[in-house]
Amino acid sequence: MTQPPLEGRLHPVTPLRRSWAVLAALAGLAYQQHNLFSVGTSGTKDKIDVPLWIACTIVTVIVAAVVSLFITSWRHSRYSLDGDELGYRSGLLFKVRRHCELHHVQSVDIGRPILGRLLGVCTLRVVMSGTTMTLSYLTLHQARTLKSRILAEDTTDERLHQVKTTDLVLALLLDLGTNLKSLVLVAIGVGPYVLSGELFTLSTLVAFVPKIWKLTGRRLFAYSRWSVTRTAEGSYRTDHGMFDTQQYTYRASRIASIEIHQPFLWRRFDWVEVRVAVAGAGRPGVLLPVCPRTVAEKLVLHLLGPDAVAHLHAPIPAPHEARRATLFYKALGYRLGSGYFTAWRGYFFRNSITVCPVARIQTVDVRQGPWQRKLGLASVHACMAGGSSVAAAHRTTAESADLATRLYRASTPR
Amino acid sequence: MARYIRPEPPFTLDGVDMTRHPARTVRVHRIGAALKILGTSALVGTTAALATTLIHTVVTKARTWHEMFSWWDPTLAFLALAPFALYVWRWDRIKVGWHFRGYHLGDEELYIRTGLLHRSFTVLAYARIQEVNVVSGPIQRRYNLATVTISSAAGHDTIADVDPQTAYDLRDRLTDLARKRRLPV
Repeated sequence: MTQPPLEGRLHPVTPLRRSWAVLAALAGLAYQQHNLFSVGTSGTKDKIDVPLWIACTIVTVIVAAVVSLFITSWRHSRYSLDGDELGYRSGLLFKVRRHCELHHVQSVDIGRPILGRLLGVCTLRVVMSGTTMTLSYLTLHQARTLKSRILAEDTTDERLHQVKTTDLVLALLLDLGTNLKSLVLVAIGVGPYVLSGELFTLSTLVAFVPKIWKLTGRRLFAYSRWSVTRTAEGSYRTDHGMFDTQQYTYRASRIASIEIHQPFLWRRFDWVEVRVAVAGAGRPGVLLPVCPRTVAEKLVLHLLGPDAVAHLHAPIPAPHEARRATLFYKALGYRLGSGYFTAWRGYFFRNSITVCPVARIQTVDVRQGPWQRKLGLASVHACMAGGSSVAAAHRTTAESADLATRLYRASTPR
Repeated sequence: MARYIRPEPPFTLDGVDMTRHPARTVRVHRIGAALKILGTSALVGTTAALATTLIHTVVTKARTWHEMFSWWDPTLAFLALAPFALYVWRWDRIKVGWHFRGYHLGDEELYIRTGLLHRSFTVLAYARIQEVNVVSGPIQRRYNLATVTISSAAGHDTIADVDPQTAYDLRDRLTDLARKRRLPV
């Protein structure tokens, strides 16, 4: 079955979106020099007098030049989808041609920033291992056609879970660790003002505001209307965002580990947060910001299989000696078997569970610090693709040697 | 003097003596440790002296250079002994650490044992190796040594400080083994 090649241009709004930054920079530059020039007034001292009509012409010429430059470059840029190859060519002075083969594509996501939503345009992110190709802006119709052609799959979606807004707000309020962190940041920011009483010292707050916003308000906006959808066999898509709608697709075959985390105050509701580490991506991404534990276990069942779910219970507790190595020895534990390695950690309770398929373990590492050596303990780290590691901390030396051997044996196919 | 350590169970391989690094790595590590301690103590000393002067100046409202440095006492010079003592200790431990470090090429996997205070024993299957590099810094070149860096999807592992010829042989051997035992992607 061969389909005709698909070609097209980006949306006409693209050049305008790109040129405004240059125009703003030029305007700023002109404003900085405003005491050198005067417009329309004659006979001023120390200033170069520019007649009004010349000023208007200059401004028009500059704006027209910048805009036309961007429009020409937009006219020369086009994407094409022919057979198994997605191409994008752009540039006027520096020509860029990008090609990607469709069987390297890991996921295709449509993002809709707030301004784009008002204009009815969106961006298409094509994620390959290592690089991402972003096409912005496309009309929604173009993006959907491209996406369905690239993925070449039936788009029978099955929504697995939708986070309720009330639950999300309550959960974020009850997330003690993050809230305390942002309070400490506020305290550090306001501290100089409290100590000195000088109003201008409040300017230190400016440095902390982005971080505080990231920890509190932005989480609420980014996490709201969160849903997880199963798109095809082994593909799970998250849609989220109040203003900027974002998508991210996880493939079951690329998953390095799943972390189920429970902040202390969520125990009452038995809510958890689910994070997923993907091979090739930097940090674990959020799969669900808040959900009941049963839903989390259902997702683990979908992503890793039924054996992994049975794994989420009954850890082997840390040995007796570990209580001298760490204050939080009660939370430690691990389990290995039926193709999965699971590790527990936390403070006073077992807050975090990390489960990974042993076939994805890259290296096995036994580590021992000086204090552990005195107590006859060692930690076993299973390093996953992407740099994350799952650790069974503070085991006795004999147990850790045995565990390392078993982990290594399980991780290599026979 | 140095008490030579014998690696214990989580860090041993049954019936295998791991390959040791050349004896001159001890000297290279001692030079490295000296530079590191010198640099750190210079940085810490300068910062501490500046901070003390600043606080002293603010508290006593000092006006002249003499007043600004009046916190200084000749006995403080004994603080310079601290990095020296640290280095004497490191000098001893580096030799001990050389007896611990080693690597071994098994049938299907590579073993690397490193560290002394924080010990580590890594197992890496040849099939997981993605890239092998040989690098060599200025001090290493002076003593005719090289480091083999092995990349897998999880990150880098290094066999630090071996003879350049051994390093090239290791590189060729490891890339060859990786190619032969490569997993289907």
